[in-house]
Amino acid sequence: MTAMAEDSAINEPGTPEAETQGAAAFASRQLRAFRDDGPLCVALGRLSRGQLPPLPGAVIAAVITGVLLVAGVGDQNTPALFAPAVALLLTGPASSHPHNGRLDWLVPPIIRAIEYGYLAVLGFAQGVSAPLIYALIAVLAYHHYDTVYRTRQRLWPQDWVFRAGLGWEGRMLVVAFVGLSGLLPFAYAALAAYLGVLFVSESVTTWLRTGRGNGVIVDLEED
Amino acid sequence: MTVAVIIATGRAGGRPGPAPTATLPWPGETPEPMTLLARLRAQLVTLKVSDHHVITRPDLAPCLRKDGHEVIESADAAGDLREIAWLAERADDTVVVLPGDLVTGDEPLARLLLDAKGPATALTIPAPKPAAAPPVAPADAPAAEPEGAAAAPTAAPTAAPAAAPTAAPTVVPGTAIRVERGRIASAGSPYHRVTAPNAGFPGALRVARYRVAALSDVAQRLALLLDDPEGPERLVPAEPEGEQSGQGGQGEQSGGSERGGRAPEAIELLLVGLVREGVAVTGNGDPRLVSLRADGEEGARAAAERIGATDEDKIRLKAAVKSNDGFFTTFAVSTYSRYIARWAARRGMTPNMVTSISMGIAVVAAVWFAAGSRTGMIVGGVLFYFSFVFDCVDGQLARYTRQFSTLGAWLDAVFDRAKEYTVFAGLAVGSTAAAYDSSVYGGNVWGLAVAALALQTVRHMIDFSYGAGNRARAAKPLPTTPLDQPGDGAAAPAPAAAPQAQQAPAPAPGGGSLVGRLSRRTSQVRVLHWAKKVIVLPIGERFALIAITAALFNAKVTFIALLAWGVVAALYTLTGRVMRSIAR
Repeated sequence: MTAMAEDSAINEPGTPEAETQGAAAFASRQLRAFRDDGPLCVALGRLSRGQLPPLPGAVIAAVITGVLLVAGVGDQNTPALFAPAVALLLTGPASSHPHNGRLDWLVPPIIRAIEYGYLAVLGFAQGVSAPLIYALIAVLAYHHYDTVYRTRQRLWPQDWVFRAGLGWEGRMLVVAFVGLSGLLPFAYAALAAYLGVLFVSESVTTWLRTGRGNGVIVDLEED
Repeated sequence: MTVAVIIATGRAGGRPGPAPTATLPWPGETPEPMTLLARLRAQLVTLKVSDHHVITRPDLAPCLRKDGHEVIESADAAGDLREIAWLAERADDTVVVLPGDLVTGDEPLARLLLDAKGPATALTIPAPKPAAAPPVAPADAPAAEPEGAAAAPTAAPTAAPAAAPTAAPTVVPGTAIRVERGRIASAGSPYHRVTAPNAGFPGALRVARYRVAALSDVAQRLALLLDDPEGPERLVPAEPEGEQSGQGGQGEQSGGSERGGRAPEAIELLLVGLVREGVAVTGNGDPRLVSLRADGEEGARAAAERIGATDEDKIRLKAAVKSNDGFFTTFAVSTYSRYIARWAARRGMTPNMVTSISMGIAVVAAVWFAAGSRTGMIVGGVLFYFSFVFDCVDGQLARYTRQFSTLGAWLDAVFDRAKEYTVFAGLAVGSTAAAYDSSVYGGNVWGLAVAALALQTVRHMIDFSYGAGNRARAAKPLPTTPLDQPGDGAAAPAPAAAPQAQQAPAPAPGGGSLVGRLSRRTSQVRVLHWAKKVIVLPIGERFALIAITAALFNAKVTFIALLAWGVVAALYTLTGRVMRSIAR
């Protein structure tokens, strides 16, 4: 390991104006990467052409999903199917909008809460083995942490990774539909295995390839 | 490759013939006698800076050439600046500018060259806190006196007549500067006054590659200003000569020689130029470390003695411990973890090895937790604590030995998460594996484990996302000040404002908002300061909570405690941050 020296590779802003603009654009791009949108969200975002601000839809989606989950995903299948569709329709169209608003930083954690909450409640309600639920959410958490740590060093994950990962809305819809056929445990196991291999192998190869280069002072330790 | 420009134009007094201060003998212990310049260059080479350019005056050049230095001759400061501009223009990398008579240890230079981030950094010497006089109050009083707008009171305790800084307790070696929140807000020269100086600039300046163009521009503009004293823009002496001589606050050299009406130096002008052009120049200063400029043999000897008396290794080791850690980390780990870091460094261990050891210990802890016995829970708890200790050690080792890598940073961060979530799983397994009537039995707690995992990840996402949005907002362009204006403009509208602004304690992400003020106010009280850190359940507190509740009770208690505390923490941080965001 070289005793660092070169920070210019990551922080290479130009003029002060470009620096400010660049920082705002960078933050917006980061927040949108943190959302972990899949192909459906992106398509809806394209339709709306970035006209919708992201926060209101996300808040409403969180409330509705919460109500639907509390109302009981276990008793009937309607809420279970409903939740991902509602969340997708409310937050998807805004995915192409710049995330530069004062409170737009709330959007990615809201989407995470919707996704994890849905997967956990649906899985437990329909009798999926608990360690399996834990494993699926742990795999997703790995991917979401990895996205954060990478974008900070401007090692943006390729677009295909997000597409292949189905996005949060895709994963929710997959389990919702498979849940109708009663094969939910299989869906959880398959998703956990597929996504685990995808996310971990892609991220480890990227890090091994780039991480050996010259060192950079970065403090990623989090509280 | 980093380019070093060494300005060896200082003249040593008390020597026959013209002699540069850079050729003063280094009085410290070396196998062979060497000059200050030779020592400085050797120090730079150990820091992997071997492209040196020495600039000096024509009459001093023979003396330096005799010592084997290749030199560039220039007639005056304007010439120095043009040479610097030319060198900076050709440099395709970081540029450091240093005075040839700089006497400093290896640590300050390493911090400047290896640790410094951002567009530009200058070595600084913080002024010692005046013991007798409270720093703010007296300075406020004379502010009421009718003074020239630009002549704000310095941090001096006595009423200062216009434009004359008094014999202040802020006597600092090097050119006077004012540092605000780690950034140099104003820098001085014979033409440029500093409002309320609180530090000195010994003359070492580093400019990152992506800002070298600005350095070159500023050097050229300054050279033009110096060359054309009658032009539309002109540099005027900041203080009448008579008033400045004998005053300690500004333009003083380390040796205490009188510098009234002295000639300007290229490096100090460069710093003024960069700061006034709006380049963010970070001040890198540590009151325990020595950086001085020698103006004679006496000064060099004094500096060498102080360097000899400084335990740089100890300071470096201490600085390797993060200063803003949580309560548990600060008091139950950081008190001794640095000695493990030093031990690991002497064994030649890398930070990544320590990170892996920490991860390994956590996995063993999870296996013990999964056993479902009281012994297993206690052993697991103890191991988990030590896993955390080594987690702190890896970062300290990296900072202490200056071994940083992208891979290491990622490994550290990802393993931190993996340790926690592996232990969650181990606890959940142990809870059902335990005998039904044992105190370790907590029933099926997988639901709680999933909830704890989801909550913790969402909490982190709040931190990350808020941080991302906040960083974008923090990047405001810095104010600029014309180069030909003697005052720094800090106190022009209200002279009293500057000392107060300088005293504003914390870096305030809340700005002037109510939340921001409330936040700063409460942080000043020690108990509240720690309470605010503990309530957000940082990593040290989480590890301790898991280890203790698991060792004493069972997994169910652990998860319920984590969830309850985590929810409180999430609500607390969300409320504060939403209010801050709205107030902005």
